[in-house]
Amino acid sequence: MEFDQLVQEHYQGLYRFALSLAQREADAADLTQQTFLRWATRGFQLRDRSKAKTWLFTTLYREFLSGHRRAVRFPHVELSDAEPELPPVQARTTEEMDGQSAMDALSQLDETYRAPLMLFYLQQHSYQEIATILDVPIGTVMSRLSRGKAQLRQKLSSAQPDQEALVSAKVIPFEPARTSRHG
Amino acid sequence: MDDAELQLRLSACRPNGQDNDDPLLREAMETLPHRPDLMNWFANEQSFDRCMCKAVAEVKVPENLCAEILAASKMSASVPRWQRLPWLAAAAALALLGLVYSIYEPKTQDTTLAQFESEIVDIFDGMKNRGFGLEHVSGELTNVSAWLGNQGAPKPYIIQPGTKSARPFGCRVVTWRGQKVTMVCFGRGDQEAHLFVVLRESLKDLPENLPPQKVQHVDGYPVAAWSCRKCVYVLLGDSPETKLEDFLKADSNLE
Repeated sequence: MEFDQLVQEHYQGLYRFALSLAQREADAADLTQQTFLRWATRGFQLRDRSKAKTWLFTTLYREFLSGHRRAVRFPHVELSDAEPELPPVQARTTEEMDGQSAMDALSQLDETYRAPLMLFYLQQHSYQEIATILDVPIGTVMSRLSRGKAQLRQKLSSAQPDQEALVSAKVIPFEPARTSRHG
Repeated sequence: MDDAELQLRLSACRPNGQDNDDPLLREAMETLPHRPDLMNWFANEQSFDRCMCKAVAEVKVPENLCAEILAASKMSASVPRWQRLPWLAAAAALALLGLVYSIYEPKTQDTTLAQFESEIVDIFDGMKNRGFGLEHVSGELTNVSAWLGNQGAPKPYIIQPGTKSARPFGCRVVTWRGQKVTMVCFGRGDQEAHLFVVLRESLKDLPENLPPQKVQHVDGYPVAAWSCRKCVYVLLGDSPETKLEDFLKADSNLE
């Protein structure tokens, strides 16, 4: 059955996305169920079934937003205005990370960054699909991913006192001025 | 492409090659062989992303979530074709409205509990046959109760939250003789039961605290009923095979 297959394929990803947004297991389960209920009642309106995945994640995100009655929309940041903040990656920080630690770290991020990052780490969506789901321009998605990762590293690093020195680093670890762009 | 844009593009690149064919990202990646420092940064970035992806994939999902979604979907059968046409639906709604005004609503106060049970079974049977949708999906009674309160429907006061074996998965409001009747759907293992709640004053001669009556069968469906304070509760098995007693055991939240 098509619906059963759809549920099997996407309920886990939707739940994890919902958990990152709502930060409560019960609310995440409700959001996931509500999303599939929407599909059951309105999914027939979607003519292109290949877009079902994006539709489900978009619907879940809107359910979450409407549930929280957001008054202020997230500001858009254009690509040209964005300034990357890329501290060095500390692989040691993440090597031992489990699912709970990952969610704990993500939950500490600003909501603006949490949603695109979670969608990115679920690996099911391209940056273009993330832009569609969150209803923001592509440049905004890229910017939020970049800044979100910077925040995430900061949170993870600050959890380890011996790496405090690295946290303060906000410069990128290569020197553009000394390196020819074209080799 | 300046360095800022280059890094933003690379940051959007998923770590397991899913975006290798994307023109925007491929263009950025093609600069890497000429930029060893940037390549090093990108390798670290991808390593970090891989760790995060692995960790996120380990986030546990409730074991019964899939079953609950599928159970709830059974309550949301496909929408009839005529309802998919907005103008036809609007015309049908107008016609129905006129019909409702023209129909005499019988008084409910003369209705006995047995009559109510019988009519609720009829309503439920009809709903099952033509398909119906839950209006609110939630696994928490507090959410269910809050939603019902907003709809002006009777709230199931008697049920205590926190049960482990009989969980609600949604609710809706049904109309019985012009009155709002609450319907809360519960799942317990692979079984389902539906609790209908109506104001006690709507029925004839019912005591304030009627203990749960022994499970009986009404038109084949197992039914149990009780009252508490202002409400009357009728618990109905989803099918004739439902073991309704299991929903009334001490470890469920319906007793």
